[in-house]
Amino acid sequence: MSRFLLRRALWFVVTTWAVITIAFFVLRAAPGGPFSGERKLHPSVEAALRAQYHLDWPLWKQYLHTLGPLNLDERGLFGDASDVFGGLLALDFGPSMQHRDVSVNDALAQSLPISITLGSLALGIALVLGLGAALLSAQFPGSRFDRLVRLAAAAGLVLPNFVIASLLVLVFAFWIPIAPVAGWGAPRHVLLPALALALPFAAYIARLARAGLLETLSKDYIRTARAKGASESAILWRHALRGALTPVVSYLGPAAAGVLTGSLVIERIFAIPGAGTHFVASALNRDYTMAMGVTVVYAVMVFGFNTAVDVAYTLLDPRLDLEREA
Amino acid sequence: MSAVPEQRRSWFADADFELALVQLERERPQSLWRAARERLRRRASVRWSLRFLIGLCLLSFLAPLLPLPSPAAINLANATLPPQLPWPAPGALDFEPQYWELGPLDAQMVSLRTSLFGKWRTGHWLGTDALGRDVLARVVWGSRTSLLVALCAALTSLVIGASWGALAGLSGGRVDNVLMRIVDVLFAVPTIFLVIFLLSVLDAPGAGEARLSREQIFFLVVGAVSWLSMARVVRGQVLELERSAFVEAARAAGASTPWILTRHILPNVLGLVVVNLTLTLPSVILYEAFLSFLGLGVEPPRVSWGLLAAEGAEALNPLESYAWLVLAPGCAMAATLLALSTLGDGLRDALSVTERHER
Amino acid sequence: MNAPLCEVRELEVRFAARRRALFEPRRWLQAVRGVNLRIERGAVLGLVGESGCGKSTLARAVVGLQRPSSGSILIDGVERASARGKQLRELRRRVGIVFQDPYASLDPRQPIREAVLEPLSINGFAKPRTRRLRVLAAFEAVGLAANLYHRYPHELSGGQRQRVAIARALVLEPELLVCDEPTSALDLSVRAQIVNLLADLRQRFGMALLFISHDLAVVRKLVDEVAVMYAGRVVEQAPRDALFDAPQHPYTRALLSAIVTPHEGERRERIVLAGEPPSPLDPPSGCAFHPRCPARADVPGERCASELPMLSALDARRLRACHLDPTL
Ligand SMILES: Nc1ncnc2c1ncn2[C@@H]1O[C@H](COP(=O)(O)OP(=O)(O)OP(=O)(O)O)[C@@H](O)[C@H]1O
Ligand SMILES: [Mg+2]
Repeated sequence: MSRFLLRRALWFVVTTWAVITIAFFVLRAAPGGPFSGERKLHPSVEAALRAQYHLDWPLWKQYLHTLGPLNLDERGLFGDASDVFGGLLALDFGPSMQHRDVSVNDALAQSLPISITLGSLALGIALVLGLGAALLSAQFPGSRFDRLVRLAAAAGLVLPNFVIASLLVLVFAFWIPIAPVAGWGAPRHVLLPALALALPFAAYIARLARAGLLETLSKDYIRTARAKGASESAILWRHALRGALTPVVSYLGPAAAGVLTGSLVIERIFAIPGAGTHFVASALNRDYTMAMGVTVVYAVMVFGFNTAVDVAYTLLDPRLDLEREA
Repeated sequence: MSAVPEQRRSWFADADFELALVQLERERPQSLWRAARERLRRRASVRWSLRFLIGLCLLSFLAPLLPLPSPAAINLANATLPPQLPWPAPGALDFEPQYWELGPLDAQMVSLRTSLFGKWRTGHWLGTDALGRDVLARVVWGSRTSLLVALCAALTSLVIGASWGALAGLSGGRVDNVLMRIVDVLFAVPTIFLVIFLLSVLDAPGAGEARLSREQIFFLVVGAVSWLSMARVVRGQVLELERSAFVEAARAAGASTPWILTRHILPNVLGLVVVNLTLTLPSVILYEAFLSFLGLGVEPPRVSWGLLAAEGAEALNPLESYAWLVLAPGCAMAATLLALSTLGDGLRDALSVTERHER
Repeated sequence: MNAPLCEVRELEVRFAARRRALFEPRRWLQAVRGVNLRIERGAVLGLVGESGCGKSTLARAVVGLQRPSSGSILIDGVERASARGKQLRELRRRVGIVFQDPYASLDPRQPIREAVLEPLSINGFAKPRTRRLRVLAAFEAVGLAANLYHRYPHELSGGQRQRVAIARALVLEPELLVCDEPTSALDLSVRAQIVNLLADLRQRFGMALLFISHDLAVVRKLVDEVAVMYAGRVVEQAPRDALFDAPQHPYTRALLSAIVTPHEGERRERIVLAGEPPSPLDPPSGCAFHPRCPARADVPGERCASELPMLSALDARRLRACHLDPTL
């Protein structure tokens, strides 16, 4: 296990470095810059701004400065040494180039908790809904409920989440007005967006778990247990659930990544001030520092979640040897 | 010292089997592919999906020929008309060809349409949007983008993905390692972020004459990310086949690599590729919708389902829902994806010959 | 002229074992460690031994699917590794193989007629029509009904599939047929049929067999001579009756004690081996069997643990690799 984690850590370093490097160079290679957008600035003002954000440095120096952990500007080791560390490796994302008096760290500190709340809530809802539906429908396969679950799952898989979101808004904000259309702050604000984000994943989880349950239920040891007189629900809960959980857990990795990307859309529909809003905007506005910060944070979250899922997977299924897998 | 083959007496009296062979060859055995087609045909859901998809392809290809209103024709007097049933107006005689830049073939079709139907156009059967543009026409024209994206992804999956995976699986060793590490890294890098970067960045204004159009970039990028899973799946299967006893048996009899490739690997991988393709297409169509929603897909006035649904979702406001604006493209997309996944399921079942008839 | 049909000389096969850490030195998994065997024309040599002792690896080397790390394999005096072109093709024709699992050894997308036809087409044998006749002839030889001609593997039973695999190996008229546990994936009742079939074919065509099996009862029925392998080496080799009646190596004794002998009354006391089969990554020093050997105490000193016993002649036809006093 520790060897697996070590290997993962190595991979993590490589991947993150790749993400940073690709993001850095793609952004710089792009035409335009953070100050070329909006109104035309006076050349001297623009030059001053460029100097302030070190865009007048050679590219390699900008890259090293971005990467860290040593601060290369006048406050760094080679200047007055008031701020020796900086850059990504020092977890300092620098000042935003669009919102000139906000640091990227502050912006993320404000928006990330919102995104994470929304995302984890959505994953939780997806798990509860998906597993619940699967359990019920596997208990009565072929029943009307089972067919309903399968239909809903099929629908959830083929609808893009913004359509689902719109439908939810139509139903719960217009036809049966019980939830607000947009905003953030009160608990009732989170209901619709989390549900909209969760439903496609709930559908997939329901499908996976239902298939897993039905398969385990047809296995020999279940038949034996049944023959020995174990009650149906005991069989379902004690034996079959475990078999159904394994594929679901391994799906949680991709699901988390999907929730993150999905939140870009959902945050926009429901006007939620999460980190997703920064993402597209910063890339479009060439807000180099902000774009880098959001990208790195998202990549790290996806990676971390995937690793956690793999670990959980072995705990659930001890036959699996991560060291051999890795 | 080695024996001269011509002079050995054969073990087998081949000539005795002339009659039996003639009889057997008169039978027309059913090939596996044909059997799979039969199985596929027997499923009503698959038949309907196939019909739907073919109809959709025709509709979207022939969109310029149909007597629909222009998808870009703005008419503020008719803004946000809801769809009404039964359709009140079968049509009107105020068609004005208003499109974005069309390709030569589409332009031809439009002129053919004007000579066929003149100024007649269908009514606003599915309502109109905030600028009075006809929703039905926009959905039909929007299907072109979605299908084109799907086609593009299918091609890259097939051409790049399948050959990449096959190459990795066949060569093994270091080549395999390098090829698959590349795929791993691309997988691990959250591609959506890369896509957003690439799109927003490559598309910047003022990049000179040679710059690709937004559409071209978009297709390139979607294609670039859609082949990864195909590469993995094909490699896995090829590796498994390479190690299988029947390939070993052929090797022992002296089969060359091209022989094994064409006789054993290709037929066994083909089904998987087809099934995987039907799984890739829906995800790519969803992806297009997602990017269009974020404003990174096709550019207005062109349309795609994602763009339409995004417009519809944005038109939702606390006072008025304009449900049809989001429902129409949403349903079109849902029906298409449902048909594709039904077809995929059907194909998977139909193509899995092996364990079917066993107890 | 006097070269045996197949001769295995000092064969060693090793695989690069996966490194567990980045800077660990490369380790080798040695599956076959210096095996010498001869198979005469028309003879049947049985090869027995525990799972993982290297039987399949040896078989694969004999048919050319596995390159020897050192040592050589000679078919009728021609070395496999250096044969090229026409000579190589002729070598391949002369040595056929039947695998263990008939479910895996036939391509699910290939009708069985194609499977049997394939070796003929690969080698450009005769005209296409003659090839198809040959397929039917081979069907008949292995007892497959002609009306199965157009079938696919999934439509056949395990026994029928194994017959197809045998037919596929037979069409090129091999002089040596390597059978790697051809019966162990089959039902008990079918097993006997396949063994009988192999015995018949051998009678009819006079080919030699290298017959690999766990199943000593089957081996006893079919073979002339038996070689016993342990951890990549041959530890005992003797004519069938000599081996079954009076096994000389403690490992052979243990193996034989596990089967019920057909002769009533002379049932041996069952010897249960302690411990696990050795890991091919680092086998025990000296005699690889010594940690589990019940007769180890009978050898004075620590010889078993330090000195590798050579495979040497006990009498005219028996070979054994053991430090035990032969008179015991
Ligand atoms: N291609 C390979 N790469 C690495 N190791 C291998 C390979 N083929 C075989 N081995 C190893 O070589 C050893 C001998 O394997 P082999 O298949 O020859 O055993 P066997 O005697 O046929 O066993 P069984 O009775 O189970 O078939 C085993 O430890 C196996 O893991
Ligand atoms: Mg074996």
